[in-house]
Amino acid sequence: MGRLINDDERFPKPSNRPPRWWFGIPTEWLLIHFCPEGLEDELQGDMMEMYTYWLQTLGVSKARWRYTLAVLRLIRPFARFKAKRKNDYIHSLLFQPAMLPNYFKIAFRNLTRNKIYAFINVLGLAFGICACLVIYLIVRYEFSFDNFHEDRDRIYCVDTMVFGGHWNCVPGPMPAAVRREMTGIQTVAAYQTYSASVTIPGDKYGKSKRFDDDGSLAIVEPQYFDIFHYQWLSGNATSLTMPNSVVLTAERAKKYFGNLDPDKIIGRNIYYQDSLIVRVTGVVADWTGNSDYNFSQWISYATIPASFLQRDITLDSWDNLNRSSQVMIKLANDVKPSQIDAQFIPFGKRHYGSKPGFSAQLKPLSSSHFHQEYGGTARKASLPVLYTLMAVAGFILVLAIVNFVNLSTAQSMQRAREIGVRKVLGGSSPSIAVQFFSETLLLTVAAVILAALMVIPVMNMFADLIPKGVHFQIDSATLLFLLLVTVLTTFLAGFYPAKVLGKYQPAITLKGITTSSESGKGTLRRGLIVFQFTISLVFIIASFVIGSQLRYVLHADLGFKTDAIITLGGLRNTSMGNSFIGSDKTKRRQQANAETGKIAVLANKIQQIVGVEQVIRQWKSPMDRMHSGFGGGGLKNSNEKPIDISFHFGNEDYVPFYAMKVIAGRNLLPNEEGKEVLISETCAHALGFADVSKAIGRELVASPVDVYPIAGVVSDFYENSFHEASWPIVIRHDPAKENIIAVKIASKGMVAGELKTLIDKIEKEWKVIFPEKTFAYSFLDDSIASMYADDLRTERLTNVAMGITVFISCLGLLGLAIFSTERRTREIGIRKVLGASVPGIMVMLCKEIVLLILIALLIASPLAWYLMQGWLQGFAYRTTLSGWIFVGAGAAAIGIALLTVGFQAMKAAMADPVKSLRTE
Amino acid sequence: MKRAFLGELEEVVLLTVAALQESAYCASITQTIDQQMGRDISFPTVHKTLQRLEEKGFVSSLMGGATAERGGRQKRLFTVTAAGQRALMECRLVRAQLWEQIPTPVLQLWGV
Repeated sequence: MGRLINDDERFPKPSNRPPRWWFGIPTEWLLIHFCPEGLEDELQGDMMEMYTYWLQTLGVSKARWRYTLAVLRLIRPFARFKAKRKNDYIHSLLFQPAMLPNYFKIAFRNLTRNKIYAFINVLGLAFGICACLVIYLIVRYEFSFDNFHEDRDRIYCVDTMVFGGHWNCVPGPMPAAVRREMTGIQTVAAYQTYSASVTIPGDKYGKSKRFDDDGSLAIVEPQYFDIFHYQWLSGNATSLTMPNSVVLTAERAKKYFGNLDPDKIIGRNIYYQDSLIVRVTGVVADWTGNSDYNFSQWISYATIPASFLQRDITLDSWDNLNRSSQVMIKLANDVKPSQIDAQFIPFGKRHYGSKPGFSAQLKPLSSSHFHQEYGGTARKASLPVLYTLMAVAGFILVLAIVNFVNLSTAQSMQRAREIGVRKVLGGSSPSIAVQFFSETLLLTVAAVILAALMVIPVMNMFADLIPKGVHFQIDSATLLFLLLVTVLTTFLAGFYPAKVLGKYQPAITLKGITTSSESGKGTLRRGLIVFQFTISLVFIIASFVIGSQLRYVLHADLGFKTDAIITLGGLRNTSMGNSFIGSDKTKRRQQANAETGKIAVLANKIQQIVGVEQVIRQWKSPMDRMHSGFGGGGLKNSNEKPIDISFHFGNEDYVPFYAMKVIAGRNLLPNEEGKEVLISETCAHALGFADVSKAIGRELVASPVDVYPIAGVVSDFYENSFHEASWPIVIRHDPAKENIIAVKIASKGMVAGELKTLIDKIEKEWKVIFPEKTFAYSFLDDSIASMYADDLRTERLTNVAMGITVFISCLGLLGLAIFSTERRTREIGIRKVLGASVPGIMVMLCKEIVLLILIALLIASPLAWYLMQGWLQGFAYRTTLSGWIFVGAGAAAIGIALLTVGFQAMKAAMADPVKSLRTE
Repeated sequence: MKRAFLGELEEVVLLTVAALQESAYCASITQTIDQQMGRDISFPTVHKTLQRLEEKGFVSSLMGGATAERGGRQKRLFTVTAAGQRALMECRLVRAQLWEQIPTPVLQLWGV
């Protein structure tokens, strides 16, 4: 092939014609159809010449490329607005300020004329904005934690993994060792959370005051105050180097000592747990920001070795883990957390030797509010829940906006004539857009004000779903948020109506023809309804699924009896609320023995109360948060792979008390301490016995040293919340562990009053034996339900979200139904005259909605199925997602929708045709 | 001193319109700039510049004769208005003034 251009024939016919297509771009068509108005001729001619020129100078491929590029830049959306040469007399394109009062006046008149329309619009928007506002407040609150500290980006928590688990604590000697052995750290501060009752001794006139523990107490090293800064009103941090000293916040000091000058409080005594006497050596001002570290009384760390606290808090053993031990680290300038993490590896080797299972990582302070596994035991927020909430807020707002758009376009027919007149009198389409934006703004502002008024009652209504610290107050951030919502809503909700209405051609609308572009907008409205109902259906299905799963979880046969059983609590909080993890249990056991005797006495006393059927001592209820396991279970001398087993402790009464079934062998024998064990059916299977009765008499390895013969097999019961699978269970009698009393109440038909007196009697016995301990009790079914507190919250949240989305969708539907039936009044009249029946007309009016909801159901079902499948993965035992849920949700949605529009449809269908036909 | 502002590109296009006289239309202007100034300029840019110049009142336009090479389509012919002439001359004056301010030895060094 030679060159395409030769000199003899300057413009060879086939190639001087500009390309019609270029890589799928229809250049010629674009140039013809999207050319700026009035320039078609000259541009096409010029482009033809330019193409020839480019062909000559650049060659064919570059010419084509240039040509296409030029076409794309010349066509309408990209080219400048049409040159103004033809209508110079319009000076301001966008809007005339003088027209604004008129816009608002017309908007106001319109709203008062169509009260239902305005009401539905404002109410729907207000609900959406209110939900958004509440969620905004929650999210802002949760993200406000610990963001006010100086140097907060250098403060870190330590996420420690010991013995293969995250325990939200660190080994006692770790802080000191870190301080000794690691570099790059500016400050290390160890602290212990501690719970104790407080007694303020009275002076010679006053009585002593007593306060219960409220979780505000910590035992800290003085360095704690180098990491977290407080303003010292009196005293200083060095006073915390001495044993038996305590620092209070001003508020706490006021609570204990009244309105005294901080300097006068110094030197006063406080008794903790009636036995630890400490002296106040400092007072600091309270923090104003939200914090997870909002302790208000700090005992000096030096107090631990100098008091009985050393029994509870081990600071020298790496193998014992106090759940209360924490450490806070402030890095030196320019040190990266990864540099410290690297040092933790040899650190772990040094202190744990070859034993694996220790690892540690620095985690920023700011993230500790969202993680259970480090940073103390304050109330934590869940990031997934927060993100879900934000998504829900977004969806609800979008639904409300969709409603708005839907209703505005439906109503636009009625405004067509007004727009025609405006255009004839010189209104440009941007100025009409401004008019509709100002109308939308009016409605949005009304909705925002209504939403702001509703927030406080709404927050009271859902108080249990909202964290305690969330309050609604008008401050700059909230105002900014509301402003943002207003602007966003106005823009999104006003955009479509403004654009559509601005485009009306006055010549057509003034003639009264308003249905010319009917079909297009109808599609949009239908699409929006499908969208709304898709979201509503997702929430309805989610709500159904969560409801059915929770019904299953709460009412499933757990394999043991749960009703009329009271567990007496309080014992576990005796000293520190901490548990020991590790092998060195001797100290613990001695202490427990002292208590075991008392508990036995108490159990006997309670047994004698009238109305008590049975009393047992146990380590925990069959289903409980507590868990004690052993990973090396198996038969003696077996070389099979070891299995995980879980321990329950109780004597021969344990199995009958909870009405468990012994399916092979026999129950434990009385008066026999820990010689034999019972195992669960699953355990027997896991040990390799297909026939469970074969397991009887075999010997079970249940700890590194102990071997027990199997006395019997009990049928399976659930020992964990349904989120986790039950382990193979072993029931053994060990009096030292059984320090919880469970009481079965005799009669079923006991009245509330009788129950109260019974519990009072039990409390009296308790006070005789444990005068220093607070009495607490819980019903077993309540404490089982409390294991699902998070899920129950999720359920309520989903139900609320469902309620709001369905409500908003129905409002939109109602508005549409009103308008469409109004528009079809005459059609209905004619149909009736020609013999249509009332039911026939109702079917005609409703069948489209049913169809739309069915489409929405088709879209929503897979989406909801996917989402709920994900949620159900969090459960080890779950209901199946049956198809009926989806059918039910669809039926419910259709039912609600028909209820919404049915009344309108009926009204329209029952109307007297004479009347409707006469209106003209 | 208020003066209608003329951008560099606008100045070049306006000068070309003046230079081409009767045959100044968008395609020819683009080609002239491309050839004579060796400046890679795109057609739409010139088109927009011309529109802008017309809005500012520096050029006026009327539809002119069609030729075969442009498929019988009319062209928009541009002429420089009085305001355009003034603007161009002012531009030239300002530049000349600046040129004169360069010291003669420097100019000699440059070989001017």
